[in-house]
Amino acid sequence: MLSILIPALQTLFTFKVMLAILMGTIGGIIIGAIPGLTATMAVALLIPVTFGMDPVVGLSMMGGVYSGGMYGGAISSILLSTPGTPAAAATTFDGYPLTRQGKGGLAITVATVASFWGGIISTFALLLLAPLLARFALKFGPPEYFLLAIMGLASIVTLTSGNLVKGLISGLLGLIIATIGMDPITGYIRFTWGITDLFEGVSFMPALIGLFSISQILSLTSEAQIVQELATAPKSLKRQKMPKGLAPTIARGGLLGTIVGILPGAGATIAAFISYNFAKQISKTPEKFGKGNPEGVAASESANNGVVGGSLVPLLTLGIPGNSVAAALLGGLMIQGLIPGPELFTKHGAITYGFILSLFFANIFFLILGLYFAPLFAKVSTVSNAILIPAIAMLSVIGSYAINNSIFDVGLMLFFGIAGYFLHKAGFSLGAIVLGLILGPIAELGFGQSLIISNGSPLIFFTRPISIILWIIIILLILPAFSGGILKKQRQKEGEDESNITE
Amino acid sequence: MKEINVNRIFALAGFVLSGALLFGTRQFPERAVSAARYVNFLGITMGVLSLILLLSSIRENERNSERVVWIESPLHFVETLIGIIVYFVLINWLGFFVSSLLFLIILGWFLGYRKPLKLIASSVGLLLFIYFVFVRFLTVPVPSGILGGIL
Repeated sequence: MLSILIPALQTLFTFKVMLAILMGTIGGIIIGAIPGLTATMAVALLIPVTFGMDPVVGLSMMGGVYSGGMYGGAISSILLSTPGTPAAAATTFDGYPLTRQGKGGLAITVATVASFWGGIISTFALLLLAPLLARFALKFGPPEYFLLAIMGLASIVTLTSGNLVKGLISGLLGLIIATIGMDPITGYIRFTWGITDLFEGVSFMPALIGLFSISQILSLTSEAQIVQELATAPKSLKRQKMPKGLAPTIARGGLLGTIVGILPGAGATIAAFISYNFAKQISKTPEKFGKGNPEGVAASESANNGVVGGSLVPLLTLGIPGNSVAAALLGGLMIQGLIPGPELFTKHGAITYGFILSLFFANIFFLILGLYFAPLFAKVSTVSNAILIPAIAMLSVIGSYAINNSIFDVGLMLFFGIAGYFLHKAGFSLGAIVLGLILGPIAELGFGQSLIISNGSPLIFFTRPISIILWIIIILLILPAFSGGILKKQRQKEGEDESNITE
Repeated sequence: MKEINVNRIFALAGFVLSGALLFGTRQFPERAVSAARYVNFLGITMGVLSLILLLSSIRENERNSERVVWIESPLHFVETLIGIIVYFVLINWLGFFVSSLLFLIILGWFLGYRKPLKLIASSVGLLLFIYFVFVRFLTVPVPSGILGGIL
């Protein structure tokens, strides 16, 4: 492994790569800190920028955005009591009370250091576990690849708030949209209505940008008049010394985040809540939680950054994104011609390991940036939606145009954005649609080749040992969502108030 | 609109889509048999899932169903939507930079930002950033529009 790691590390020590990680991290922190803007949107908008870059530079930048975005959410959680990202929701419980007590600087320091260690722990786990899992993926044939695509969809629909059937329909809709254009086996062109721009299919980048950016800004229009104010003056946020005794909480949070991140279907929000509750349960003074306990901030922040490395394990090895940020990242990988699987760790080893190692630097950068420039980021987090909405719309336009230099793609992006807004309002999962769109060609190729091998018998999907394991995993992924639905109905019957927290 | 009614409408739309897919594959030539199989599989699955959605929405009590608020702030929503569509059309005529500058300033103003100098400065700053990153650094051509060459 060292024989790959050293050249990979060498690729990072160039001005371009370091600048890309730094810019990505800064961009991630800013977007993460602004409530309403998500890391998913940031990655989606960034892909066109990274398209023309060297793969290591582009991927390092996206890794920086992912890590920075996960950390940046804490800043507005602590200072505005409004989480910048859903993943930082648990950080508000103790972060905001600390700010009200005049200890905003302490809360920011704890959040920064905890996020850093959470990220470092999970990146180590990624480095060790991903190659092992990738080797296992070598045994996969067409039926397994078809089932993997289905498994990827099953993993993301479990995240859908509320209705599981709508989650499945969303994924299926993505697969159906992916059938537009040329069939990957015989080259037959279908469902294009004579539009030549569709002959090669609906390109997923405009769809991804439309669904994650335009639909999001249309949602933001309802909040255009809300003026947000910081609970403390940014200048008063001086760097503070780390309180003692937080190391075990941070280590536990980092590990929990990594494990939850690896599990398809779970995400940073869930990880942060589990870690927070766990820290509270085992604490000798649980009554202090929720009233400004730095331990609460440490538990939540170490876990949500722990998810970053964890979620990349199934993504890089099997192509299964556990959350929507990872789904957007998958788009970034594919556009560089990098298909998740064993080849990423052999043929493209230098790029993949370079990307993984760059996450260590992203963590170091946001540690320094967070400790020294938090007041600056805090100020940015209150920027008016009236400025943000047109700016993001413009970035979406240029981003969707840049991939193919096509105005048709811009129109496609707008169509997906507007349709996505209404689908989201109706309770469908935009992440699942994107995933279906990305996984569609892989699913179709696996499906078609399998049936050619079996002379048209669908039994091929149920007889091979790995296929059976994959079916079991798919069922395990979908079952909790069904039981969750039943529990929800029971609670509704009992008249309990419930709130859904999704990524 | 209540969520169960929304579900019913989408279930019906799902049936239409499912039917269209199954009908569509009948036009496929014989050589595209594998493509037809896959699309049929998707069509049938869509039909089954739409049926489940329809049945569950019929079983559910309308009183317990949550209300779906399609648009929370209609004025800002419509302004943004029209703004983006007009911007898209304008790009074809005026090119990227001129139409973007107009779009950023006008929509920002309509959405309630009332500091003209700051609005102009931030719009120009953002466009300069785009120019240096996309046009100079990444050498990505931006839409020049029909009048782009003249302006």
